[in-house]
Amino acid sequence: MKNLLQSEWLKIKKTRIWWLIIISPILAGIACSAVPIPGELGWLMLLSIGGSIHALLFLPLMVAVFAAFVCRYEHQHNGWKQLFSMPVKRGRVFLAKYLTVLGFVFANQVIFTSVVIGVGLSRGIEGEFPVDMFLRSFFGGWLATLPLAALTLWVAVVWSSFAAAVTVNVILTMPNLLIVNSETIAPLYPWAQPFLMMLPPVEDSFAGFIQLESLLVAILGGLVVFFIGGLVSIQRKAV
Amino acid sequence: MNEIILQTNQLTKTFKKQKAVNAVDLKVYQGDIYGFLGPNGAGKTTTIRMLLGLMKPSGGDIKIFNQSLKNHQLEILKRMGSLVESPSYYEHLTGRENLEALRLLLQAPKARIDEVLNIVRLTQDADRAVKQYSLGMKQRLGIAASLLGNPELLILDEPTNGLDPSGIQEIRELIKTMPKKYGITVIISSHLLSEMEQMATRVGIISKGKLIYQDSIHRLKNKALPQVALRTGQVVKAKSILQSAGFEVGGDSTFVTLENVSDREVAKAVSLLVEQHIPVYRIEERSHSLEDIFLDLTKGGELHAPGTAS
Repeated sequence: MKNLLQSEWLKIKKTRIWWLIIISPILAGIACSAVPIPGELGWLMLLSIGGSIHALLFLPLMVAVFAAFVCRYEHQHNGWKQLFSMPVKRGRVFLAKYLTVLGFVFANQVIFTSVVIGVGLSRGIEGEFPVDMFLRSFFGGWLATLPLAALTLWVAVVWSSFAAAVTVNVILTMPNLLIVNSETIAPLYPWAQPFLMMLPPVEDSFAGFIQLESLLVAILGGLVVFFIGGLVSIQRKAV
Repeated sequence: MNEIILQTNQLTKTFKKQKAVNAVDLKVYQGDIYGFLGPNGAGKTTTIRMLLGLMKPSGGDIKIFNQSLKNHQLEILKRMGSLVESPSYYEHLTGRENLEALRLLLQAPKARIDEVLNIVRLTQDADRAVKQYSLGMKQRLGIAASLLGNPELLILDEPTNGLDPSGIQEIRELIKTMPKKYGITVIISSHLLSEMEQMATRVGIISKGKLIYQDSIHRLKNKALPQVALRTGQVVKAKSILQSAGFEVGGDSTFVTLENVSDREVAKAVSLLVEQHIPVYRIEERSHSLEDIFLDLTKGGELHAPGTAS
């Protein structure tokens, strides 16, 4: 497994993926710099604004882009054929690519969080820094992408077009704008989870932080279904 | 005879009811350069894909290194190298990085990369992006990749496709050295018999999914030697007379054909027949190029070349 990951790393590190992981944090950073800060709730405000931009749209989309990236170089010049004639299990290949995608989402989260904190510090926000809130936002957002990464990787493995995974994900991400406002659907919709997980709780809003229901149904359920789907597809893939 | 290294038994692949590969029994011995021949679309690549586990057979089975491919795929793949159709590569990486990405999976020693680069003479270009490689260089990189794991069996699918004559020559020379220098058995597919003629030790010919010929290249070449055809009366009797006199006899209902005969032997055959009062109407020489035989074989889908009692 380690060698598969090393090999994946070698292949991905020289692509343009690096430019993509800074887009969303930069946009979020710009928004955070512009928003007025209401006294003591400064950090909460910053995380809400930055999180809305990042988690509502960009994070789910980036997951698909990363997934498409780790498959693109295999689709381009018969990479799958060579890869599958190596003494490696196909399931392991899927897992290695999946972990690589998660790694880039993690990096994306690190940069996003650092940017928000950086903006906050430079603007001299008053009040204690809410460590808990930021940690939960950081990890919650990351966890919420687990099923999305599995689904988009599945799509990216099956279809050779770079656009396929991204398109599927765009179609499923767009309804977010409506769904996050629905108390009944939102906790169950996998694409809404990054938003729900990353945004801090505001009064009695249902949005915000780990709800057991979301975690089990939308995240774990989605993860299991999509991951198994991807595994089956890569086993059956004729190259 | 050497040990059998690869064997298929009634290997079949069906695509939507059409049999792309139909009950093929391949037999490859250790140390062979096995030329796997057939026109385009005959089922060569499909067969090779199945040999590499890239595609599951619809029927039949594959044994490599005396193990079933179905049950021991990873162990077998570890001892094999391959190049299927057009070369596979990651164009954003250098040649060396391409090999490294595969070396990690094969868990081969790091020094092996320089060795294989040297074998295919890419050492100088190893640190250039593959994007800038010519087709021939990409092909050589593919061969280098196939050698990375120190394979015992190498499967090359049309490795000279799209190369210029000097590139073809180079790859051919390289392949020829494999069994002797490195102890590697090679299966190489091609649609050109002339190419195989110069390196293969054994050939299998596939046409329309069926293996229609499998034997040593010498046997095939012998078919290309001129035959002498005798048009006689009482053909059946004539054949038996000549056969009992020790001639290699073939032919159809109107002709008796003799293989590998000198002038003196022809004279002897004719006098034998005449002595037995069998009329000889005509004596003619028939020659076939190897290419003729190949075309004849693959067109008809079965053996039509005269005197093919193999």
